[in-house]
This record gives sequence, structure tokens and C-alpha cells, in this order.
Amino acid sequence: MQKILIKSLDSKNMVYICFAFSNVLTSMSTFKILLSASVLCSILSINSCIKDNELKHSVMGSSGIYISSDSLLHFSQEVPRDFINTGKILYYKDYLFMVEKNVGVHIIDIHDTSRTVRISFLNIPAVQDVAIQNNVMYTDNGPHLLILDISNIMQIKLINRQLNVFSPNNFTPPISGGWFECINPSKGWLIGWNTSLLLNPKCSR
Amino acid sequence: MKKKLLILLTCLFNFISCSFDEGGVNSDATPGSLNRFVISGQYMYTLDIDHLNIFDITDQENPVLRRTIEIKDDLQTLTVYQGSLYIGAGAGLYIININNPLTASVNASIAHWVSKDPVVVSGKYLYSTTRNNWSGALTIYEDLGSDQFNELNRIILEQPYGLGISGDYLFVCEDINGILVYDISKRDKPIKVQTYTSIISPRDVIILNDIMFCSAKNEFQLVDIKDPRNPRLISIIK
Repeated sequence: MQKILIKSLDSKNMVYICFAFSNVLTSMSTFKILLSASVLCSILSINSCIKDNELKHSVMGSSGIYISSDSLLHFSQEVPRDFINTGKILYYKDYLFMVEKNVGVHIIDIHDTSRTVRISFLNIPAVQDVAIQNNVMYTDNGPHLLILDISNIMQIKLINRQLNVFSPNNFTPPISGGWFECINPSKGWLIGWNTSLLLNPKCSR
Repeated sequence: MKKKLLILLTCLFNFISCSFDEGGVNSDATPGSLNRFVISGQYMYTLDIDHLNIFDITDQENPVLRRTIEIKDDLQTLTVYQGSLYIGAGAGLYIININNPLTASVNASIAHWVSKDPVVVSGKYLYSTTRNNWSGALTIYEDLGSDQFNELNRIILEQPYGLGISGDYLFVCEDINGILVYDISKRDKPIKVQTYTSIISPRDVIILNDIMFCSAKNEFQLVDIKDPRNPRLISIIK
């Protein structure tokens, strides 16, 4: 849109310039005026093309961060990890489950409240949420719903994965009023946005 | 004798209905206020960006998606309280009675300024925090019955996140300042009595038996709130 805007701005200027140019040349024949005007306009439009090329290399915006469809199909229980970007929590039977957004779930043992300890990490790509009932954990894995048996907390088992239960993410970048790379589901599951240099972006908000 | 039996039955009924009402009792897990998955009875409720999913989890290993309810908004948080779902969204709060989940629909909506917002409920009072890039607030609503809600009070905050209630105290996570402690013995007029500052970028709380589990952007704390006006750190993981 911005590109079109600049073009239209240029053509507006062109009209003005062409109009002024034609005023100066009132004594000339209509043919000559048209010819001169068109020559000038061509020069100006070449100039606007150069501007377009410059524009292609100079737009900062947001590009999507994706997890590929293949990489999504993963579940593993691993050694504890550091907290990077945590927030959502769920308490269940003296364990605390803490979601590491898009990466997995920390498990904290709180049997001894004075000595809480991280005991394990569930690697679940694109995870956002967890719920638990009767030793069964439900969690999202991008569009998929994972069902896990947590009766043995150190040997959590994946018992079911229901594919494509949840709608694709189509959230736009958090910063409004900027350019962004159009969402492309063929790249996988969208989990966030980076600021980067964009070549000829077609989406904005 | 008949009277006694009647009283006994009424008490029993009250007891059953009360224990049934508490979402936490049924699911035997306690979620924080920011979650988008909640379980109540045999159903699991999850949010997609513009609809609510209702799964039947009677067969635990094979959940069945029974319904979706479309809500044209940016749905953020889900709380169950006494047979109702409270959905915090970009443009407002939505309340759905789930006594009959398979026929449920949106009973009420309360519009607020565009933001993200978790909600907790105590009796007929709703406490909701809202925040966007510029500002935030704690807003108190009263449930007037018949799906009518009335805004009672609004307190301007900086960047509030999750919140939790313990008796007459409300705890609100605020990104910059810590965990704010409000005396809510007058439910509609919270009075700030303390700020727990020994936590950086708190996100959410779960309160159980005088202990507050606090998640932060990159730490986890257990805090003793036996004296809610003087929260005391028990343990921390960074």
C-alpha cells in the first residue's frame, strides 16, 4: 500500500509539474506540449521506479516465526530447563506445572514447600496451555491436542495425539500500523513475530 | 421427625451443591487466572482466538469435541466459577452458564477498553485486570443477577497480569512493581495495603491454604500469606 501511495504521490506531483510546464509553453502547439509533457513525465516515472527499488530494500516490519509441521510432531520428557518466558501455571497434587510459552512445560515438585525443585521438563512445541484431571494431562501442541498419562511423574507417557483440533493462528503482529510478512500456513504453525527487514511486503495493519 | 429429616436433606443438598460448584474440586487441579484450558466435571473448555471449544472427556484418553461457540473477539483467558465460565477477551468479558454445556450460549457480555484481561470471581463480585501497551486497570463488577452486571469501581494500574483471591484479600501481579495486595473486606472498594516487591515481572498466582504460588517471567516463588499484609518468601527457583 505504501508503495502505491508513493507512486500516486509521484503521479500527483507529475500532474502538477506537467500542468506548470504546460502553462509556460502556452504558445506552443498542443502536439508539442503533449510531447514535452510526456517526455518530462517519463523522466519522472523512471525516477519513481528508482524510488520503488530503494523502497524494496528499506522497509522494516514483522516477519512470522513458524514451527514446521514436521517439527510440531514431537513430545519428550527431559531434564529441567531454565525459565525463559513463563507465566501460566497449574497446581496438581503437590506439583506445579508452568508453561514455557511455545517450548514446553516445567514441572516443579512442591512437596517440601521450603525446598521447591524443578524436576523435569516436557518438550512440547508450540504449547500454550495445560489442564489436568485424574492423572491425565491435556495440552495443545500447535493445532494438535496431546493427551498424556502423568500417573508416574518421571515417566510421563503420550497416550494420544488428536490432529488439527485447534484453529490455525492468524494473529497479526503486536505492533500496529506497520508492515508485516503475510501469514503463510505452508511455512507451518505461527508462534510469534520478529522485527526484520522486509522485501516488498504485501500486508500491513 | 419429618422436619429434622427435611433440615438434614436441605443441609445435605447445600453441601453437595457447594462442593459441586467449586470448579477446583471437580477437576482436582487448580489453574491460575491466565489459563485458556479449564476442566469442570466431564467437560474441558478451551479457547481458540474467536471461539470456545467444549470437549467431553468422559473417556479420558479420547476427548470428543462436542461443541464450539463462536465469539467474535480476541479470546484470552478462561475461569470457571460456580457453574459459569468467565472469558476475558480483547474487547470485553463474556459469561456463559455451563450447567448444560451442550446447549449453553453466551449469557452476558461486558464491554471494556481494548486489552487483555484475566478475571477472578468472589461471590457476586468480579475482579478483572486489563492492560494494553499504554495502560492498565483493575475493574470491579457486581453480578446483579439475570445476566446483568454493573461496574462498581476502577483502579488505574500500570501493567497488571494475573490475580487471585484469598478471603478478604486480593493479589494482583503487576509487571513493574511486584504483587499488589488489596484489602477487599469491602468488596467494591479495594484498599491497597501492601506491595510485595521481592519478585520481578510477576505473571500469575495460585493461592492454596495460606500459600501463594507465584509465577514470574523467569522465576517461581512460594510465598507465605498467613498474614496477607506481610507476604513472606518461603522458597524461590530462578
